[in-house]
Amino acid sequence: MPVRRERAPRRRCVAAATSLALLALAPWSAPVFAATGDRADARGAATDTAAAIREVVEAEASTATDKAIYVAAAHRALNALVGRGSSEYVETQGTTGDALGALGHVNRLLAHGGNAAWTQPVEGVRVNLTVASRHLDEALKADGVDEFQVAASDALANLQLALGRASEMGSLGGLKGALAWSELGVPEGAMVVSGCARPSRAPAYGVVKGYLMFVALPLDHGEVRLPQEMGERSLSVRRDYIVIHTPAIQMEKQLCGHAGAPDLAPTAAAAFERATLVPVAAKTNAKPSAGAPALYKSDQAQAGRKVFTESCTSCHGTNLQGTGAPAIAGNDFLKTAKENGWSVGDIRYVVVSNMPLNAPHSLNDQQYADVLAYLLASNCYPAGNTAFPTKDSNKLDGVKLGPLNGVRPDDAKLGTCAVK
Amino acid sequence: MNDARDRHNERPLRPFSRARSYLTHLKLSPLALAVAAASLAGSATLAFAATGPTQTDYVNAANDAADWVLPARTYSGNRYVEEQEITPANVATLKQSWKFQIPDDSPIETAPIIWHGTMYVTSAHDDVYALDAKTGSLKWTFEDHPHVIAFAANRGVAVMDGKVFVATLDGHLIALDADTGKKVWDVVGVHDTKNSFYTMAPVPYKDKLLLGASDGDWGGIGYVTAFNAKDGSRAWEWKTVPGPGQKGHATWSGDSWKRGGAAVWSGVAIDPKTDTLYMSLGNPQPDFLGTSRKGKNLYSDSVVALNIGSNEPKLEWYSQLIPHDTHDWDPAMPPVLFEGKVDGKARSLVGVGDKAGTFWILDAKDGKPVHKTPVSFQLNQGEAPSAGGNVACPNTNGGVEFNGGTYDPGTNTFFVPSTNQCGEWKSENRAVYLAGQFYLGGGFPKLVGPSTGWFNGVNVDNGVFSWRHPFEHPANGGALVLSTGIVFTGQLNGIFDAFDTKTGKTLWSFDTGSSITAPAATYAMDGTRYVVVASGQPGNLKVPDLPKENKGSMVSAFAIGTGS
Repeated sequence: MPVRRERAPRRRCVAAATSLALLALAPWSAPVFAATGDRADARGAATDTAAAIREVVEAEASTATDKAIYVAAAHRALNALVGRGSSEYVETQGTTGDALGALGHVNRLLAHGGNAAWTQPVEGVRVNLTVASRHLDEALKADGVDEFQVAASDALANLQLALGRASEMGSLGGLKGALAWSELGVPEGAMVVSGCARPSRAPAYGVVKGYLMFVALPLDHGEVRLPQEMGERSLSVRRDYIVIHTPAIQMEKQLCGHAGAPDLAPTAAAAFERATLVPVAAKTNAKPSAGAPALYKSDQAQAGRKVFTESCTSCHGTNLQGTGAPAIAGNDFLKTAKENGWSVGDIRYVVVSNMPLNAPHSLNDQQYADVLAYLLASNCYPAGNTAFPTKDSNKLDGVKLGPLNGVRPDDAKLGTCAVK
Repeated sequence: MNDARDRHNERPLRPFSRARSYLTHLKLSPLALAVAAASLAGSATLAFAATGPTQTDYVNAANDAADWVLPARTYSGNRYVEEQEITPANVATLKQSWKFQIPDDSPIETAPIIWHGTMYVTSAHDDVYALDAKTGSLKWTFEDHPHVIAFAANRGVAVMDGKVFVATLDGHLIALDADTGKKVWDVVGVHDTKNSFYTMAPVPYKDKLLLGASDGDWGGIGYVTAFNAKDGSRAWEWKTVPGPGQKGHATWSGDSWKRGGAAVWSGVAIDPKTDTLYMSLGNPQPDFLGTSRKGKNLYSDSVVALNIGSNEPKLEWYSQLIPHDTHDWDPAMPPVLFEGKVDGKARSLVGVGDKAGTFWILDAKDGKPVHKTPVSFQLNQGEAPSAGGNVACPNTNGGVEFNGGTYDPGTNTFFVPSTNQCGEWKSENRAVYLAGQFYLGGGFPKLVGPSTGWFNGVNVDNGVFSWRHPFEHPANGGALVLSTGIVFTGQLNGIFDAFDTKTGKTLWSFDTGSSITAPAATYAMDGTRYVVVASGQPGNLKVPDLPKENKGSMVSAFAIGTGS
């Protein structure tokens, strides 16, 4: 099957990806790499650090002159770092963060870390959080607002490093980085596959030696959300799924002993937007081909959609993409039809005499005509004024099936048209 | 080799099995061999790249209870294992020790190969997974996902001399490096990629791979090809339908032989002592329109014995189970070669079942039927499908299916699952050949009536049931027999069962959560014996009353007292 290779995503795509918030991947079990607790600690540390940043930013942006307001903000930020269980914790109104605090989570992570891929960056996170907490201590002792501002700004710089800023190359550091390209970013219960192979079925997380190399997401499962910012290096759109490569993919040669050049090919922003993880049929840009023969009426195709859903999807898939049985819409189908010389009449013969495979002849003539209209519509054949016949027709034998003009036969997705 | 310690002691030598066979060829004395083996064993802890299994390992597979080197364990095709770890007394404590979720959720029919701690399995779309056999963790994946002609299925790989071989849905034979999963070579094996594909596991024999093409419902003629394992070049080929001038050609009216079918779908059995290849051949075509192909239609629905000692295979005998089949009732079961007792006398036999629901025991010498036992509900088998439609039993997915069964020497019983289903067939008045489409002359039957299964124990002595166990659902899971007196099988509803071979009593059951249409296997690692089975989507075998929830495709490994 052809693999789309397109240009690297522009920044707005990263924003689009991150705005998808929480994860909703299938709850499959798989070999577990990072312990559940480690992932929770990484996320906890990130949440607490973000809370501390928010406090400092709000205080800095404040125009208040009351010193108590600044002191309370610094206490709240510090509380988010040290946690409610710490001796440094100071009860302050509006305190955020949890019992462990960002430092508590990070310390626990590092106690488990050993030689894990994420140990060193998380060590850096600890240093930055510790330095930030010392700056916040200075801020608490500040003599005036100016002095507070200086200390708080220093704290903010370290906090942002700890949480992880994107580099000019788009790669994330700190906790966001560790979540983006290590096993810490694999959600509980998610499908894990080898990060060295080409991605297998989606949804899945590709991990090798603790590095998260890619996330593969299906294109036909409705809206799928990303667990976190990925700092993605590239995207590739495949027939049924999209693969998001993390910055760790740059280490493929060291980690896997081979460079996966095909998967590193950049991907176009446009492709990503088209494939923004919503059902294929509804999102495809393809329009019926103007030059192709009009063999059915549009209301027939709509009726056929219902027939298809009831009788055909279990083998041919909800998007006609094929599961156990072959694909019957899109590039692979139309190319095969052309190579094998199938006419529309041939396809009618096969469907009417053999389908559904487990109950042939179980639909009536109208239902067969409708479902064939739906098949043509899904393959971007245009609707017209003549209904698809309910009987054998010589006219159909003369119409050869194949990739149509204007529907980009080189693109697996664009050969499929939505039938609403 | 009945003891865990024995097996353990043997292990360090195994990487050198090729060296041992080399020494054997030099005809060294047993003492010299022992000295050589001992010196080799001294350095056996060194890391080794994947080598083997070799022809010696295949021939000796029955004595190696730790590995599983051929799809049905040995060349005889009999899934019977001498072991002591799992017994009727402790099997109730069998626990799932690991599970690998197969990423390509599909109908799973893979026969696992286990060699030196690595397990190789496949998905329906020809993806290959190498797993750590102790933990189920993934070592590598090879993803293929080719164009599907009619339905997706893959029945497993061959592992030979450090390579893994997979045959694909677009008719390729591909060699992979067993350590990395990287492609070594890739050839197109089928002659017509429009209507032919591969579903069976390649079978390694000497320096070749034997492989049959699946083209028997799409207008092709069956053939088995021997490919040279080193580069995928063709060594020989044997066609299953005799052409003009060949014996048996007159069993086809007119030109009907040209699209006669008789595909080589299933696994094969080999007697390496005589270089005899035993195969079950598929149904004739067009499947449901017999009037267009009058005659017996040889060698469709037959068991054949071929001498493959040279590059010109020679037919030794054939035994046609269903002459002029009009219902797609071919013997989907791979033949099983075994030494059993008939009327108290030891005989060399072949066990094979067909989709018409008959289990046959043939004489391995000449193919003559010894016993014939109906194992499924049968009705109206003499009536060809009519234009108006008529009912016959079993249905096309009924009878004895592609995982076959197993002979147990302990009880002189052949264990084989079967399916009770009926179908309503309708023929058409013509059969049109369209490249890449079914060539049926009618439609596949509509399922009517029952949809249940049996697990049958057939007494080889007289062909009568020793015991039978009824199943609520169709049963296609084959049989795995342990010498301690246990037989395992899996059902379409996901239940994996262990029965007492003597009494038929259920000793243990486990719900895998997805349909079992793959055969079970067993192996041992570090003193622990595992039983393994794959499960997945029901695919073409789907029936209306299966459990609603399917937990997806997976490989499940079980062991006594470990895991959850």
